[in-house]
Amino acid sequence: MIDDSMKEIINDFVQEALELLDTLSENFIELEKNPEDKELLNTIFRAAHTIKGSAGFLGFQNLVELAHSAENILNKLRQGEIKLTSDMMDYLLKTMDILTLMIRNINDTGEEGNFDNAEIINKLNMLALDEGGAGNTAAAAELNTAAEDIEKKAEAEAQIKIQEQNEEKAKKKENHEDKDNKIEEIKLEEPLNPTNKANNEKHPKRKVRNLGDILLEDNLMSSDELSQILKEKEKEEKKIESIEIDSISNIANMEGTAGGKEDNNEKEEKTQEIETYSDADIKEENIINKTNNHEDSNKTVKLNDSEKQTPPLHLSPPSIPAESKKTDSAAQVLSNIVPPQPQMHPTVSVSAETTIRVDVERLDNVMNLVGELVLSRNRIFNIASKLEFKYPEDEFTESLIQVVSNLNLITTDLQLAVMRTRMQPVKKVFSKFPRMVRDLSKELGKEIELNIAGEETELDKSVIEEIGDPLVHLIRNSIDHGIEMPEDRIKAGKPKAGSIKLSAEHEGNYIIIEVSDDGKGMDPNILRKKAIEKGLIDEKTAFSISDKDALSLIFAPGFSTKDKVTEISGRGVGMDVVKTNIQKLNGIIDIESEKGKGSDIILKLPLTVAIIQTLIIGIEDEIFAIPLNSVVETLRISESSIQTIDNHEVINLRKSVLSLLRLSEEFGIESASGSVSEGKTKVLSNKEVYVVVVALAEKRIGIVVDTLYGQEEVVIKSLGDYQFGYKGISGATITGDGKVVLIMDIASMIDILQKR
Amino acid sequence: MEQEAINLPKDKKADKNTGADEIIQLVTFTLGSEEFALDILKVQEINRMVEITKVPKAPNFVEGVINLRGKVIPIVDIRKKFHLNLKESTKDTRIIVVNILGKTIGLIVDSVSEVLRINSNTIQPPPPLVAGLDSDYIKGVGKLDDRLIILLDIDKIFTTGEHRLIESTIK
Repeated sequence: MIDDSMKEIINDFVQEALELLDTLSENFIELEKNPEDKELLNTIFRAAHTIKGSAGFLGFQNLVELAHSAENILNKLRQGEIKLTSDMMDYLLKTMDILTLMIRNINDTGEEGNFDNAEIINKLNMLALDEGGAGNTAAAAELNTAAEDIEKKAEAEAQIKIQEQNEEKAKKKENHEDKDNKIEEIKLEEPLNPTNKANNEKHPKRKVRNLGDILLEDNLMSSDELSQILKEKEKEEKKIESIEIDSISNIANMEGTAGGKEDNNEKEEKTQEIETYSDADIKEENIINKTNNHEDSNKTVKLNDSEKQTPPLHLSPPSIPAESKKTDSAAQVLSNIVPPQPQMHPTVSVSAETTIRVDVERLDNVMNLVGELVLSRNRIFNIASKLEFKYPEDEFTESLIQVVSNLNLITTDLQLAVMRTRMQPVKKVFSKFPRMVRDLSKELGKEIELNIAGEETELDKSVIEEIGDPLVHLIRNSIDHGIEMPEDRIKAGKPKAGSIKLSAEHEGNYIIIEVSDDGKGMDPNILRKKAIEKGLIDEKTAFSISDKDALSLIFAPGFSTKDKVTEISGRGVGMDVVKTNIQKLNGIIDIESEKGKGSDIILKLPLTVAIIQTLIIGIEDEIFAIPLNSVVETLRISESSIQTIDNHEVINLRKSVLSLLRLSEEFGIESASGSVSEGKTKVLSNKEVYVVVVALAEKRIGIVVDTLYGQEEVVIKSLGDYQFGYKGISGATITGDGKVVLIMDIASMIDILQKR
Repeated sequence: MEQEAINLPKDKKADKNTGADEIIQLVTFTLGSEEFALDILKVQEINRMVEITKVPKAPNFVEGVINLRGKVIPIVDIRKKFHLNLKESTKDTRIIVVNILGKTIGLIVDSVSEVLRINSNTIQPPPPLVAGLDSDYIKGVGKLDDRLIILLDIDKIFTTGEHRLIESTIK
């Protein structure tokens, strides 16, 4: 079990780091366009540094190492020592990906996990070095070789000094530590988690070994010397462990942690001592290093590393638990540990003052309560209008009406305000696409420009979470299938670079997300052929459907126009994902495509999922609600205009065939209500009925109902544990008069009709 | 209406004694001429009959759902469940809201009579067949003067299959 306060800190770290990484990859793409933008570089550097600093504080050593290597390059870029190359960008972006993975892993398991980053770290370090050389003139390169020998000697001397210093400090610190530990025993009462403890104890060891390896490799230190130091370290650690064993449970853990921290602390201090000591020497070297970077700077890197992450660990040990004891936002805690280096501008932590992080669960709870309030409002509204009808001139009725309308306004505002708190800009999803487009177009050798519009459009968190994947697939599709190769584009008289437009905008209670490209478009006939080939549709149907319906074939699972499965596409899964996710959100997909001109895919999604507008309909005496966002239109038709094809009832709606579902049959309402309505079975040929045309994703059907009551805003209540084994009902709601009304599940309705 | 407690044959101070002498409280209700009882701890509340929303394709003993202060709960017609003759609801008809295996379900009964305090040793094991009911969900029969009260084990009232029918998750 991870201690709560620690968990909170880690959670906050994860949140913050992920956000930073998001902006980072965005910034990187920006940077590739404007490699000279110093301000941007600084922003990137600060973000990377913040991640590293926080990770260091929490003892995620792997993360720190990787972040550090990247930071190294960034620092050089920032100081103009090296120039950004496309290759370098690839590695930097890859690093961001790995960091994201690691942080996700921390989020899931609380631990770093086993990531072997040695390779990429090496690459990054190499890049930092190589590019340094390449950035200089040939003359400087010559100078390099000449200076190298001298350089190496100086370096070696410095390292030996460092080493001596290290040993001395180790001894001194050991004495200190004993005292400190005793203080710890008394002061600490907050049990800290064992995982953290373990981490704290593990990492210093690893760190020492790493340093040791380097020292050994470069023959700067004999293995004897090294092992002696390592032994000392182990001695320290054993001491801590023995204290642990003596004490009981929590206290033991806590001491362990404190000990671990202390231990860590101490080592960091040591390394810092090394740094301060050798600072002068190394700084001089650094200046030379600028012109001739060779392997040695690897070590400088290490040392710089400790310099940067030492400040957090300089917090006096008791203050760490004290901080975590308060449930202060960890941003604050983290801000304390941002190294107090003057050139570092504090980043996120400052702006944290104006925003707070709230558990989504709490927001959901508020949302539910507001839902209840909306229901009560509806009921009062209902009663008030009845009263008004009954006692039109009454004084009290009038004031009641006034109060009610006021209540109505406030509730509506409150509802909006609460919904707002759950809203997030769609930028959150959009921001990853520039990177994706860059990578994919590079891979495919295409030139593609991505234009994003309306990324500030806000929508509900739950919707945001669901639209990411569909958009990825849609954009991949545009890149892979839509946009042609540059030479083909020129032949077709189009600009060499293809363009993909991704836009979001509000339309009433919906958000419209559009992915369009100016590529080759889709040919309905090719789609038909492919669908027949893959056995998704028979030949007869294939040619009876309209061109627009043929375009919808791309959503069939397993459909692909590619004959070969590539890394990017061809499995026929992507569009199915799009369909499934959009369906889940009760969204509608619309495709428009013109051969040779490009395709346009339009997603229409509800802004929120908890409170929805519904169309209240009636069958016999029963009342049901249909989510209004699925409703396209309602028709009033005569029974006689219903035709039958293959036992399916259909009508002809503006030249397209619309399948009908009789709700009374589907719900078995006549038979369910027993003897009451047994007499009036089935169709009276001149009776007029209503058809509600509903759409979901790319499909449309008509639902035959007896009555249309009107529109009502309802709060979806889950039927919870009780689904009665029937999919046609997605939930229930309570209407203004307190009655339960069942909400129909349009997706299953469409499903049911198709399976007939 | 259910506050009236019947005096017990034995002394009340037997409360914390051995299991055999334990005082238990029961909610009694009628279905036709039979008297049934439920452990009071299983009963959440008793409501008057309200309008029930029918649920399409629900199992036949499920009458529908109601709005219980903002929560939607299923209602089971216990007459249907016990295969008794159906009866129109009257002013005495009540919905007993119970917790069955952690789930809230409403049961329609003809009327609710009272809350009984009864010594558990007056309850006898069920005879093999009572009132045409399966004896599975009958915990026992309580004798009280000349009354016979059938004590139901609410957790067993629905077979696993029926539970699954009521609960069944969307698959």
